[in-house]
Amino acid sequence: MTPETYLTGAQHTAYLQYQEDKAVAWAKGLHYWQRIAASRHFVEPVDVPYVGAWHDPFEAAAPMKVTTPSGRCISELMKGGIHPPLEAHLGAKILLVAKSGKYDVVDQIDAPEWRQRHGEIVNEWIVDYRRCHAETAPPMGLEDAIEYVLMKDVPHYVWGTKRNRRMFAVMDRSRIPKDRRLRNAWKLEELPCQL
Amino acid sequence: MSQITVGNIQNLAGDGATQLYEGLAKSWVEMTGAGTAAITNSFGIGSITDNGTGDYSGNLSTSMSSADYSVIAAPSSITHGLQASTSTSAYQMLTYGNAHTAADGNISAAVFGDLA
Repeated sequence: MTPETYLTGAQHTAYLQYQEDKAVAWAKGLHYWQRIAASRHFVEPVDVPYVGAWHDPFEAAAPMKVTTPSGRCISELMKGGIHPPLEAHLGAKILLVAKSGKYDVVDQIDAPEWRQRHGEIVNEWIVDYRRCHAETAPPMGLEDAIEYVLMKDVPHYVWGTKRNRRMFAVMDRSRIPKDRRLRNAWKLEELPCQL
Repeated sequence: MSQITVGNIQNLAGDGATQLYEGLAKSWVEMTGAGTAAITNSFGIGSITDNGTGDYSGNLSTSMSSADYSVIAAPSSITHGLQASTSTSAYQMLTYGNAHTAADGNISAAVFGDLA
């Protein structure tokens, strides 16, 4: 099954236009991946002092998760002109198909929650990613770059939804316990540390 | 001797381009899983997430066009590791020790497939 199976009318027309724009992006050398590949020759990774610690509200019994930004990606963001604006990532359109037969086109920012709410996902396709190819973000500072990566890679329902207990914190990497048994017992709401 | 440097080949009709990047790894990562998981070296990775003992996610900088792509994961300090699930923007890796129970370890992974 391909995206065409699920897309109809205007959605399908937009998808075909996206495929054409993607081919143009490759041909002109503006593809997002090509910018990252080219930057490898002049960007050196930096030390990233902060990590994102979070609980997944859909996995209440699971231990705290820790997202560590890549030093190379942070360096690329600080250089500017390589990665797209954060909004381009979050607004990319994804077609998601659940095993139940339900399907929908959602923004990337909403995709993690959709996956959680609709059970097993049979497949998913990007149907519009053109802003990521066409636009680039300006240089940014270290903390802004870390925030960019964490907002992109930690599900929005974790950091963007107000809840009764703290689900997400940016903290100094050195404060994460090295011992897994200790770390598994951590609850973010009991921690005083936050960036 | 002449040298041809080219990223795409277009047919005579001008209606299609063959990407010579097809066989390249679109992303790779070498990481340590013990303690606080850390990236040793990487390409095309935005971050890694430590989900629990022997359970890690690689979060891609550039999304893949669909969830159908290949992740080749090879552990270096434990018995075995495998790729568990994929989405367009991330993939999951699991690592196991001698008793086939989840265990932290070092792991390398490479992603092959079509980009968004």
